[in-house]
Amino acid sequence: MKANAVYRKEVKASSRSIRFSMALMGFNGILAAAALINMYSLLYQVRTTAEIQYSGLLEMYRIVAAVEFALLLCVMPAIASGSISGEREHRTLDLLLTTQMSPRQIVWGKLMASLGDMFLILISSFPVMALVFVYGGVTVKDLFIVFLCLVTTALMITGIGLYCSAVFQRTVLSAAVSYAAVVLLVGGTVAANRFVLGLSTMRWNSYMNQIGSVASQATSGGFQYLLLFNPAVTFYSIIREQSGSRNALDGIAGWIGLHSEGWIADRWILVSLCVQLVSAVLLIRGTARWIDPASRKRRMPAKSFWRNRKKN
Amino acid sequence: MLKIKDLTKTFGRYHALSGLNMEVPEGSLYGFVGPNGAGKTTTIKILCGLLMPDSGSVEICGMDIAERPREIRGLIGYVPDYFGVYENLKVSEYMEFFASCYGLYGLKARRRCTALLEQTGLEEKTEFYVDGLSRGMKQRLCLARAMIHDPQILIMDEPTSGMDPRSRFDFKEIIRELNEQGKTILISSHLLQELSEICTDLGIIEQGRMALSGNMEEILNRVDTSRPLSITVNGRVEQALAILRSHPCVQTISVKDKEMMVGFMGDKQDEAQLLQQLVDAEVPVCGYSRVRGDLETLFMQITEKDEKEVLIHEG
Repeated sequence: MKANAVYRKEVKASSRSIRFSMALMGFNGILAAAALINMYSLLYQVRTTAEIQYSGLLEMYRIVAAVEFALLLCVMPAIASGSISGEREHRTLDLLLTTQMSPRQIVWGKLMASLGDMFLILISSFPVMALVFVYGGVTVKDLFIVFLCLVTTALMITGIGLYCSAVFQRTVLSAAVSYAAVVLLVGGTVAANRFVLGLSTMRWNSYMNQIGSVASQATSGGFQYLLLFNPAVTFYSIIREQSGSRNALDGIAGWIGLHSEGWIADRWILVSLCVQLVSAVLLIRGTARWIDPASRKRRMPAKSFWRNRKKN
Repeated sequence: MLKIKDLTKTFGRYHALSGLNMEVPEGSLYGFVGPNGAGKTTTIKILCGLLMPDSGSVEICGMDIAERPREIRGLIGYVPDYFGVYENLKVSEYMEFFASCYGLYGLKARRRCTALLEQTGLEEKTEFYVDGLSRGMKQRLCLARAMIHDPQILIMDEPTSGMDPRSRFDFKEIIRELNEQGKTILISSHLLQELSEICTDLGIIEQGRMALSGNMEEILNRVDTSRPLSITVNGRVEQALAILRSHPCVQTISVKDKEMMVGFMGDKQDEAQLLQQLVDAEVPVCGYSRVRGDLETLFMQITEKDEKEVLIHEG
């Protein structure tokens, strides 16, 4: 089986550019700095108190994983948001669309190239992540679940980046909208829940005052399901669960008005990973549809070419 | 080979194509001309599957473009009016990339690329980065790229725009060579003189409609019949004028010394008959020819007429 032509070209072209190498070095540099600073503070504590706090080592794992997650959120939109718009800027998209490659194959090639970069970033960070095995406390399964979460997050962010790059003509605009979408996804869903929770709490407080009770059952209602799209909540839940919490949502449920019980809440990590994967697939399909000239026409039902053809 | 029937395309309120009909014969080198905004690029984009028409049909090699777009893409090579190159690829890699887009890999692709680069005179540039090539070379590379899958039809949208005369000449020669090899070529250009030199057929599009189309020779003949006859005599001017005035095809006469410009609405046979009459009357004719018509004049006549029509309709 031959590799996708667009993917092969992307790999060749990006291997000649210093940009990705610099991004990789920066990513691992920041990650290593976070791990080494944490390790240094642990050893400093040992020197001053003659005590080894193993919880501090777990803290290091959490910090390194969180830094990796945050960096991924920052890097992936930059990688993906120029995929299609870059072709447009180089005026090569039309040339590709006149070849025998289908729009889906073109997007698939772009996706594989972005994911290839992402895997390189994740795999290159393994040595830093492996520092947590020096003192134990974290299993390979734990790391695998975090890795799965990072891959899912990267897929969704890549999907957003690809879609934006198909919709917007310019890479700068596409990147700006991609980052805005990521901020909205991570911060916006939490803010929406906090806002709804605030309104709900106010309502409950006035009701409690009337009946003279103190127990509050304020939640953000249906808005909490928006958080299934939020990769940061999923990541936090995974880390929380790995830290020994009974329920993955315990730590944040009260803060953002989540029901920490129920079918979805009990399987929050699995459901949110699935929701994010499905979103990624839909975004990628949407990207292929967007660049397909035939689909673009079909999106205008009133003037549909096919309908007109039948009339003729 | 290529048939367009009642093609329409609108962009908002702007009618880019309003019932375009066109036919490109197999093996022809078809010149597609028209003023800016006439609908040339829209037509070409529809032919290449980059735009969908609002109505009408396009058939290429008997296949409808709406029904079998993928097969038709395999029959077409597209050379746009821009280069479309990647910065970080070498000439050979650029060609191999597009070969792989058509499912050509390995040795087969390399052989095809080498042959095409030789044909376009870029065989010594294979290890050069595409971005570093000159404008003329980039356009030749684009032509080689469009030929990578050995298409039956080459569609070129103003391929020689911005080229220097030397590059333009070389490019023209390559196009002629490809046509001789049996490729059907549709070429859109503003350089009418160039088109009249190489094209076998011509279509003039104006306001989204075909204003004139047909075989180049017929069109040039038509141009010629609308041009005056230039007759130079070495004496007996009055006698020559008398003959001219009595001829039914003669519309106007203007005399300047021994040279007469005659508005003559007749074919070659009528021209020969008039010359015979002059010779029989012993008029010393030392010059007898049609003022050479060119495509530019015809183009100006057609587009001018349409402009007037538009003004009348608007008025």
